[in-house]
Amino acid sequence: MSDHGHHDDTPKTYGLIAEFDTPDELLHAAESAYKAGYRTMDAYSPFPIHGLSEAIGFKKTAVSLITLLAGLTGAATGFGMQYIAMVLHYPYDIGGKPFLSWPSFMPITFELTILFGAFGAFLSMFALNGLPRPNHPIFNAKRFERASSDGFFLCIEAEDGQFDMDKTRAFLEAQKPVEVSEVHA
Amino acid sequence: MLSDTQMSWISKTQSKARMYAVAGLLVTLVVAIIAGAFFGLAPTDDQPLAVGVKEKIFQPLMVAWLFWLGMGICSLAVVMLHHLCGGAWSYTIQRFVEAGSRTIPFFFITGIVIMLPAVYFTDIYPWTNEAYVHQYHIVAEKAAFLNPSTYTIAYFIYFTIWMLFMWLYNGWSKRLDETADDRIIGKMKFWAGPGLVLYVLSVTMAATHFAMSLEPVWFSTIYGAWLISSYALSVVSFSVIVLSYLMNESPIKEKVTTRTFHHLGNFLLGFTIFWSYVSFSQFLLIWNANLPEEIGFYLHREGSSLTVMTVFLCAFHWFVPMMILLIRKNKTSIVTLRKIAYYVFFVRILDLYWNTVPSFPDGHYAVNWTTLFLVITAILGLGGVWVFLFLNELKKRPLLPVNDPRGELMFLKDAHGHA
Repeated sequence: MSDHGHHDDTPKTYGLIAEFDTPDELLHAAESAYKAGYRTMDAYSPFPIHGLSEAIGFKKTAVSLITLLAGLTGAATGFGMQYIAMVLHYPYDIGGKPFLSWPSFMPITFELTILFGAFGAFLSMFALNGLPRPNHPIFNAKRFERASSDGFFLCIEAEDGQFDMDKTRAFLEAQKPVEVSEVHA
Repeated sequence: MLSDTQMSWISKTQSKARMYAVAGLLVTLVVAIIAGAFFGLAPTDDQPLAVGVKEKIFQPLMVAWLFWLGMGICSLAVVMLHHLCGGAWSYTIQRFVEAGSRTIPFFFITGIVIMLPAVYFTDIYPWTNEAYVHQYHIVAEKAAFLNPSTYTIAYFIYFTIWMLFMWLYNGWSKRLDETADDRIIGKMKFWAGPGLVLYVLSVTMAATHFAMSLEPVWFSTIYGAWLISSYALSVVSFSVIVLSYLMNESPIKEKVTTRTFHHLGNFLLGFTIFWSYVSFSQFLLIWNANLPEEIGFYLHREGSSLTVMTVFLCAFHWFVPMMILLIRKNKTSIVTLRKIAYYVFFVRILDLYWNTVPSFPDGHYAVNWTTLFLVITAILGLGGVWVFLFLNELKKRPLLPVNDPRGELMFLKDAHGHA
């Protein structure tokens, strides 16, 4: 930045974060934030809280569809490879059975369905989450390490259309958190 | 203990069950006598087994008995599975499966009336027919296992094992309700492991005696696993149905969340896949080996209408339920899941038909529509009696364990944060 001779001392804002004492307070705050119209936000807790992802408006992802398509690709690959080998390229009489002995092809077809499906699920989850990602602005948040022990956090991000430093801070304060602080990008 | 709505549902269902029992068993008897008298098979030199009135009566009753037996013994297995692994899904249905397990004596008595006479007085088990055993040397070799005395003794041993564990677990559960003595929980946990091992061993043996030996030349080591997975499908789907009718009132209402259905739906999915895995691998191995003593089982199940039934089972016992149960939305709504559970429960009839009836001489190579009809009426009839007894047992105790601290813990763990 300094190469351009332009000095901006105020760091960019990633968002505003509120810390809560209990999972119920966090869930409640998330629900109110969604009701108030906030959409770009995330919640952080030491363990999964049932209903929390729904509360912040978490939508069904494409992972299941990608997994299905990958699984079908696996099935087609498994069956196709055996078809090419056993029927087209190297037909061989085994115990008088037909070349296209589909029951014998099933184990491999099944295995490749699972293999491709698992790869599809794992890799699409990685890609859609933007992983791998060595650092994240949320780690700049105050006391954020407690999100893995006893802290419950709700962060409304600056990207949200409705984000306004003062109004959003006032909104979060109204949810009776332990503390509201700014997260620098 | 139970609310008025729950009680009225139970008594309404019981009177319906009584009707099914009388009508089903009556129709079965009348149609079986007519079918046996006019459309029976006389033994010939090639095919030494007779199919007369006796056989026609006992065939459908045996299949129906085998169908419902699982509701007793597999309920017991789910009780023990619950104590072995725990989990919120089994906690909500624990009292259903406990009540189910208390119906094992019903099967013990009806089996003495249905299964043992079938061994001693009919040609249904080919290994009891001297001419048949003479014809197939391999059956003579199995005589130590397949003879009426061994069958009878084994019958009593299987039921001793099942009734022993039924008595233990239901006794402990009752005492835990009354005394809140948590040493009982330790016992329940400890015996669940050995109990399940004995369950799997005894059901494998029992499946061999009761069902596999209908085709005595043939053998398959995975047959017990087929019956165990089938019974698990029946018990889980039946529990979903009962849960859906009783969950709107205390004490179940407070403990049921969409997660509960999701878990039960996942179990249905798992056992649907396991059932098809077991059924298909049995076919694959035998088809590949193509040995004369094994392949007969599948040859008897080949032919116009039976081939259609085979394809139907692949499509509608495996593929369709699996695809429906893969979709999460279908598992989180009890209305949808109940429909699926009814479907899974009743499609089991066709699978059981497919696995037993084509072994009878008049069931080879094509669907025997009379026997299929009789199997359905016998299942409805015997099922009427069973459902009646099951509901009698169910209303004797609170619908959830009273003093089991694990239940509350499992529920909290599973539904934590749920407002």
